[in-house]
This record gives sequence, structure tokens and C-alpha cells, in this order.
Amino acid sequence: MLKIKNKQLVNLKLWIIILSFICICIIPHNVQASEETINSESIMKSQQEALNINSFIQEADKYTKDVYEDLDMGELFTSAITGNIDNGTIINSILRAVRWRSF
Amino acid sequence: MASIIVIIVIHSILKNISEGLENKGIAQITYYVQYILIVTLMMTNFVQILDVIKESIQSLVGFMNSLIPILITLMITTGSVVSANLIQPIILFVITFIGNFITGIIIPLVLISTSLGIVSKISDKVQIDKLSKFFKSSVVWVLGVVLTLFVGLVSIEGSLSSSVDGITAKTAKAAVSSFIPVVGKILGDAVDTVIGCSSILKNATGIVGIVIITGIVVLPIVKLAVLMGIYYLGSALCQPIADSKIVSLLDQMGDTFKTFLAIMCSVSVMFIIGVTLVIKISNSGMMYR
Repeated sequence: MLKIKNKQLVNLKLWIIILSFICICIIPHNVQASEETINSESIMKSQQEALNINSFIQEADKYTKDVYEDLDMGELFTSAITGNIDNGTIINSILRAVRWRSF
Repeated sequence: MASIIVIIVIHSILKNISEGLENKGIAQITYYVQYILIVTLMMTNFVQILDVIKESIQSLVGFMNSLIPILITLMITTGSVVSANLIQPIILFVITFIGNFITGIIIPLVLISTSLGIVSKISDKVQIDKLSKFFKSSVVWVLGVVLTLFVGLVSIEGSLSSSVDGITAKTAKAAVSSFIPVVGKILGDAVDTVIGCSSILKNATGIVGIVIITGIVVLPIVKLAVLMGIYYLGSALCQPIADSKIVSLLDQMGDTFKTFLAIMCSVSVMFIIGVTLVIKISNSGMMYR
């Protein structure tokens, strides 16, 4: 009697395993994730907006209007992000301000 | 300066004439008139440059008060939480303290020193030159001590906390990568990308900040340097013809402008070092990853 019960239990287990395997194979794989890779530019843009960095740059522009007439702080910030700061422009605008505004 | 030299030349001619007449009273009166004229001319320059210095220090403090919170927030987004918590109170306190200290104590001390110097050169009877020198040297010493304390505190605390931040972030990333099944590695990489982007933004903001600090202080520094040079040159040119007290008065004014130049340079260097340290501390924390 016990032997028959054990055999039935083993059979049941086997059936469960086979059914689960079939289910895994048949059910379509719907993945929610998109195929887009993580874009660093979009992350930086969203961080700039979240931390309100643009308004800080606009505020900072007011402090140096007299010195950096030709220098846009927004452009400087973008060039700093890309690592292409033009030192010549900064030095020239300082020299121009010193030449014309100090005396 | 040209008008001061003209007054000195006229006085030297009058002095020779009065010495020829052997009348000491006239010579004394001409000396006083010349002295009052020169001091009046110098004071117009002095008041203008004082306003420029006060204005630029207030602008610097105002700008730093808007820059530091953004830099600290960006530091936190790069994972440097401990460093941000330690550094923010120190930096904000020191910046506000320095602004008030310079406008409230240092500049008045320089003014007292200058006025004592001017008074001591009116006649040989009143000599308070040493007191003036004492005030001036104490101003320079105090500035040096404040600069050293600021840089020392920020760099020591920053270097200690950056290691803690770096190791904490590395542990967190390792935990995310290993304990979260299937997507753990992807999540860990995404966190790294976001932290890297925040770091780039932080560095760029710091660079813009340094350029703006330079822009705020460059005109006052150049003005002070030129005025200092003019007064030293004036005293050198006037030495053969002018009274020795007038020469030392011009020297004294050159020294005053030199002290103001030292104040402006040290404040701007202090703020530039502060911003650079804030950038570098969180960058060194990232080295642990």
C-alpha cells in the first residue's frame, strides 16, 4: 500500500516538473525593459534640470557681466562638460576688460 | 599722481625761496598746505578703491553662497555623503565669516593704520609710525592664519571622509551586483554611469565657478596693483626734490594698497582653493571604485 502511494507521489512530482518545463517553453517572453542603451547625455540633462544648474549659471552671469562681455557662461559650462574649454577666449576677455574698464 | 608730483615740485620751489628768505614760518605753512593738498588727492583714490574692494568681497561671498550648495548637492549625487556632510558647514561658515571679518575688522584696521601713518608724517613732534606698522603687520598675519586654517581644515576633513565615501560606495555597488539576481550587474553599471555623469557635472560647475571668481576679483586686483606701483614710483621719483616726510607718506600709501592687494589675493585664492578641494575630494572618493 505504502509502495503504491510512493510511486504515485513520484509520478506526480515528475508530472509537475514536465508541466512547468512546458509552461516555461510555451509562455511568450514579454520583457518590459527597452532596448535603448543608457545615454549619458540624457542623464546629464535630467540632472541639470533636477538640480536647477541652468538658473545658477544665469545667476552667475550677472556677477561677471562687466568682465566677460563676450563669454557666455552657458557655453562655457557645455564646453567644460565636454572638456573643450577655450582658455584663449577667457584670457582675451579678461585682458579686454582690464584694458578698457579699469581706468 | 601727476597732480601730486606737480604739487611737490611747486612746494620744493617755494621751499627754496623761503629758505633764501630765511623765514621758517613761511616754509612751515607751505609744507602744511602742500601736505593737505596731497592727502586730499590721495584720499579720493583711496575711497574709490575701498568701495571697489568692499563691493567685490560682497559679490564673492554672495556668489560662493550660491555655488557651494550646488557643488555639495552634486557631491552627494556622486555618493560622497560623508564628505558633503562634513565639509558643507565648515565651508559655508568660513566663507561668511571671512566676508564679515574682512569688511568689519580687517579693512577698518587698515584704515586706522593708514590714518595713523598720515598723522605721524604731519610733523616731527607726533610719532605714531610704529603703531601704524603694528596694525598693518597684524592684518597680514591674521589673513595668513585664516587662510592656513581654512585650507588645512577642508583638506584634512576631506581626505579622511573621501576614503570612507569611496569604500561605502564600492561596498554598496558590490552588494547590488551580487545580491540582486539577474539584473544586479546591470543595475550596478547604471549606478556607475549616473555617478560618473554627476561627477562630470560637478567638475564643470566647479570650473565655471572658478572662472567667475576670477572675473569678480581680476579688476580690483589689477587696479590695486597699478595704484601700488604708481605710488612707489611716485615716491622714488620725488625723493630728490621732495621732503623726506612726503616721500615716506607716498611709500605708506603704496604699502596700504599692497595690504589691500594681499587681502584681495588671499581671499580669491582661498575661495578658488575651496572650490578645487570640494571638486577633488569627491573625485578622490571615486578612485576607490
